[in-house]
This record gives sequence, C-alpha cells and structure tokens, in this order.
Amino acid sequence: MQEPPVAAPQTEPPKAILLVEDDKFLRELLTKRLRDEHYIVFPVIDGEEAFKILDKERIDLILLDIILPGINGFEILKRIKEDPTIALIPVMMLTNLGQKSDMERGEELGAQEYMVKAQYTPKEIVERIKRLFAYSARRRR
Amino acid sequence: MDEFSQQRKRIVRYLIVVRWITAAALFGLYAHMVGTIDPSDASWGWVPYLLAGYATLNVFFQLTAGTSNTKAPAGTISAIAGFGIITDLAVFFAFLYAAPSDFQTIGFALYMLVIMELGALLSESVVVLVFFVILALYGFNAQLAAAGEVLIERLWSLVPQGFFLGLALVFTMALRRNLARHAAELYQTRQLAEAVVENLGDGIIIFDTERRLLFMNRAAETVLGLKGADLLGLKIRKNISYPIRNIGNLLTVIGTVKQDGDRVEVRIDKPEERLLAVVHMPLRDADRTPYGEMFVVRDITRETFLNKLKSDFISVAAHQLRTPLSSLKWAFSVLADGGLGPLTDDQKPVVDQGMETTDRLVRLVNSLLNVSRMEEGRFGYEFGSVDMALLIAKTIETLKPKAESRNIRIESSVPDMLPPIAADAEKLELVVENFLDNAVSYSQPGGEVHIEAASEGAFLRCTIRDNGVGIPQAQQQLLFTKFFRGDNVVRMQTDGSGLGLYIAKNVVERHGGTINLTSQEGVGTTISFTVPFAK
Repeated sequence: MQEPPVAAPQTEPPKAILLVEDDKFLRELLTKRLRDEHYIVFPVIDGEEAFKILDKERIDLILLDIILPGINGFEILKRIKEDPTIALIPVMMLTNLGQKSDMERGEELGAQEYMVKAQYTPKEIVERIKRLFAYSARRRR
Repeated sequence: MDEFSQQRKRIVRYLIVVRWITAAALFGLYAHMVGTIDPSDASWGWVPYLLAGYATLNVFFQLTAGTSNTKAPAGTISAIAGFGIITDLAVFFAFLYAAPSDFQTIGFALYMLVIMELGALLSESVVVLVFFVILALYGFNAQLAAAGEVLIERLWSLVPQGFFLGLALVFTMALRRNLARHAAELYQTRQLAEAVVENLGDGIIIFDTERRLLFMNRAAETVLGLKGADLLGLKIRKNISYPIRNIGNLLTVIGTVKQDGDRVEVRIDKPEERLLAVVHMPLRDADRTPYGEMFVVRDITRETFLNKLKSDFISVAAHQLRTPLSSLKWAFSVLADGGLGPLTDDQKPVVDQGMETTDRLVRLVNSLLNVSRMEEGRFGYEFGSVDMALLIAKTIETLKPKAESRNIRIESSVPDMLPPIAADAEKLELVVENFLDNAVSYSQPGGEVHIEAASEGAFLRCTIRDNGVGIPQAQQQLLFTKFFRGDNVVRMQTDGSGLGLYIAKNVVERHGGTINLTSQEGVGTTISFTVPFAK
C-alpha cells in the first residue's frame, strides 16, 4: 500500500469489473478490451443477472447501461446504493442517453461517472477506468 | 335574415302604392277645393287636418319602412329616413297652422310634399304630376278643368319660391342618392366583413364591456360546441350555471385571460378533446374608450400533435441511431488501436476513414437531438458565470487537429482581463465550435482563421474571421435556417448537416445576444456574436 499509485494495478490483486450491457457486440468488445488490460470481467445482460453476480462476487467497479431488458439502469443503480453491502462499489454509467436530465439523475443516484457510448472509444473508457482505480487507490492510502 | 328582407321589400312596395293612391286622392281633393270651395265656409275646416294626417302617415312610413331603397338595411340609412321625417313634419305643421281659408299656405305645403315625393321617387312623381296636369288642363268636366287651371296658376305664382325649393329638391335628391349609395356601400362592406369573420378558420368571440356575448363566428361555435344564437346578449360570468351544453368551454376560454394580448393554451374535452390557443384583445374605439373584448380561439390540436410526432420521431430515431453508431465507433477504434493485431499500411487509412465517418455521424445525430430538444423548448439551459477566454482556448484545442490536417492556422486574440459572461458554457461552446469549425472547413489549405473577443458595452463580442470561400450574397439570408447549406460548399464538403448555424442562432438569441455576418464569395467570412457580461 505504500507504493506509488501507478504501480497499484501490478501489485494488487486484479480488479473485478461487472459489465451490464445488453448489446452483444459492445459487451463482447469491451469485455475483451478490459480482459486485455488484465481486469476480471463479469459480462451480464440485465439487472437480474447483475444482482446474482453482486451476491457471489467481490466487485470493484460496475459499468452500467441504462436501457436494458427488464429493470432499467437507474433502477439497478438505486437498488445498489440502497444495499449497504454493495453501496460503496463505484458505478460508471455507460449509456446512449445523453441528455442533461439523464446525467443529473445518474449523478443524483450516486453514479461515479457518466459516459455517452457513442462519444467515447473503448480505449478512452479503459483510460477512465484506470484513472478511477488510481484515484480510489490514492484515496485509500 | 334573407326571408326578412324579402318580406320587407314586399311591405315597402305595398306602402308605396298606398301612398301614391292617397296622394292622388288628396291632390284631387285639393284641386276640387281650389276651384269650388268658398274659403270662408268653415265646414271645410277639416281638410288641412286630413292633409296633416297624411303627412303623419308619411312620418310613420319613413319610420317603419325607411326609404324605398330596400337594398339597404333600415338601421344604416336612418339618416335618409331622418331627412324624410323632417320634411314630412314641416309639411305637417304647415297644414296644421294653415287656416282653412289659407289655401295659399296649403298649396305651398302640398308643393313641398310633391318635392318630397319627387325626392323619394322621381320617376313615379313625374308620372303622377303629369297626370294631374293633364287632368287639370283637359279635365273631364269643366269644373275640374277650371280647378286644374287654378292649380297651375297657383303653382306658377309659386315659381320664385319654387326656384329655391327646386334647389332644395336637387340638394335633397343628391343627398338621398349619395346617402343611399353610401348606405349600400356600407352595407356591402359590412356584409363582406361579416362574411370574412364568419368564415374565418379561427374562432372569434366578441363581448361587450359587461361580458355580454355580442358575436361568435362559426369556427368558434364548432370548436366550442356552442350555438351563438343561444348565448347572444347573455352575460357570461364565472360561477354561474347556465342550462346550456358545453357552456363550460366558453368559461374556460374566458378564464384564461390574465393580461391583454396574452396567448394561452387551454384544453377542452367536450365535444371533442382539443387543444386551443386563445388570444385576448380588448376592443377600443377611436378615442380609446373600451367597448368590449375579443377572444380569438385557434384549434391547435393537430398542429401540436404533428409537432410532437416530428419531435418524437427525431428523438427516437436519433437514440436508435446512437446504439449501432457506438458499435461502429468501437469496432473501428479497436481496429485502429491495434487491439486485434497491427494493421497493414493499406488497412490503416481505411479504418481511419471509417472512424472519422462514424464520428461525423455521431455529431450529426447529436445535432438532430439538439434541434429537436431546442424546438420542444427543453434544451435545458443552465446559465452561469463563464470565462470566455477559457472557452475559446478549449474550442481551439478541440479543432486544432482538424486545422493542422488542412494546414490552416488558428490565431486568437483575447484581452487578458475580460469579465465573465452570463452563459450556458456547454451550449455556447457549441456556438464557438461551430463557427470555428465552419471557418476551418471552408478555408483553403494554408488559410488563416482569427478568433477574437472584445467588450462592447454590456456585451462581449466574439468575432471569427477567415479568408475562405465565403457565402454567396443571395444565400446569406437563408444561412440560419434549418438544413440550409450554401451552394458553393455542398460540393466542396459533403458532411455538413446544415444544422450548426441554426442551433447557433437559437443559442445566441436565448442568451440575449445577436449574430452578425459579413461575407464575400472568394474573399472570406466574418461572423460575430454577442453575449451579455455577467452582472
């Protein structure tokens, strides 16, 4: 824990990311991209599966789409923040709803970041994730 | 209305006949008197009263039937009737105050009567007069012929007065004809105005100052499901229940008024669900005294529905487009990053091009979404204190790669100590970015783009100048309309959406600023906008 934050990913156990995304292509692409970065990725399609994973696994970050089959992303976010055992896991909204009102809602409900998919490349998303982990590692010190 | 005027026409015709028969009888009587009656015989004293009675009848006729001009409604030509009444009254008093023996006066009064009738119906009068003259000259018996001669003699002796009376006659006739024409014109104009208002697509409802219904056209009746005739003259007040169906709609419409000239939207659900735009206007006459108020009611149900449909369509289409666009963008970017193995020199430009095109599509979809939100009035402005220098620097940074790739230099000159402006940074960035992007896109390689900011009173003016292709003079007016693109640039650069300037104009105007543009084809374009400084 005394190492500089840049070194954190190498020394700490790999981070586990829960990816909730219903679009097959995007899900698989991002999963591959994140696994290339040595993250453990749990790709799921909807909220129901997401909560199953959250019950079983230790998760460090949730990437959450909003428009999903069944319960929507905002609802999932709300439930996560209401459950004290998982409320502290940072959530990154990854969606195509780019309206200010949507962003504000995500922020209000406790999302750490809000990204509009069409405006970022997977590379930029990975960079954001790295930065987020680095930041939380610094804070923990 | 029509039936009534038909009936009135018949009555008037009938009255004219009665009048002339009466007149003929009276003239006959007069002729007889002049020839045979001893003026000192008091038993003839009732004759002037009879004549006075006839004049009274005439007054009554004028009052009820107006004139023989049945084309004009009685109300509008009361002036003509008034003139007739005055003449008749004069005759009436002349008869009344004439002693039975004073045939001279009676003759004079009759003469006036003749003139009056002449004025009313010249052709008929002439016929009757000629008839009397013939009767007088070549009467069927000597006694009547003598009476006729005396009448003509008397009339002859009245020529000097007749001259003035003739003048009066001409004047009367001119006046009558003029008035009648005027009345007819007035009537026609009124009819035209009524027809226009009646058949107007917008509902018109007019009240007097005490909210008594004066008028309601057909469109208003249809929209509100009311019959104007049921309500005419009724004082329309809130909290009063009238036993009239759909009266609630009228109360709803009236209830919208808060300020004169307001345009308010109200919803009614009977007889059909409709959305109405109501405009209220006070009615005043020339000296500004109010005499009523008018409500203009427009059915905007369909209009609003279509607008929403369009807006929803754009919104849904744009959102639906974004998902596959994300896939495209991610696919290209993974390839470009070498995430799936290094690309050959032949592959790389293709992937880059795909990436660039996708980005352009993303921007287009964003613009479409912005426009649809803007038009729905939910663009969500958040005004704050903004540092323009920072905003300009940031935008230049965004556009630098594009400018460099086209070998175009961006120069900026922003004073150090600019006070902050009152703006929505995100929206204003769209504006600056758009102007700067246009300048870069439509400059020839090697060109220069200048951006500067300066204070101008309570406003900051930001100017973007290029030496690019310019905008044809004839098209500069259309520049800020939706989807417009200049003729000369459509071929040059095919990826513009024609939405940028439309959005920019809306954003700047929402900030209370203005846009100014000067451009010359082949020389360059200078565009500037103002935004107020923060207070």
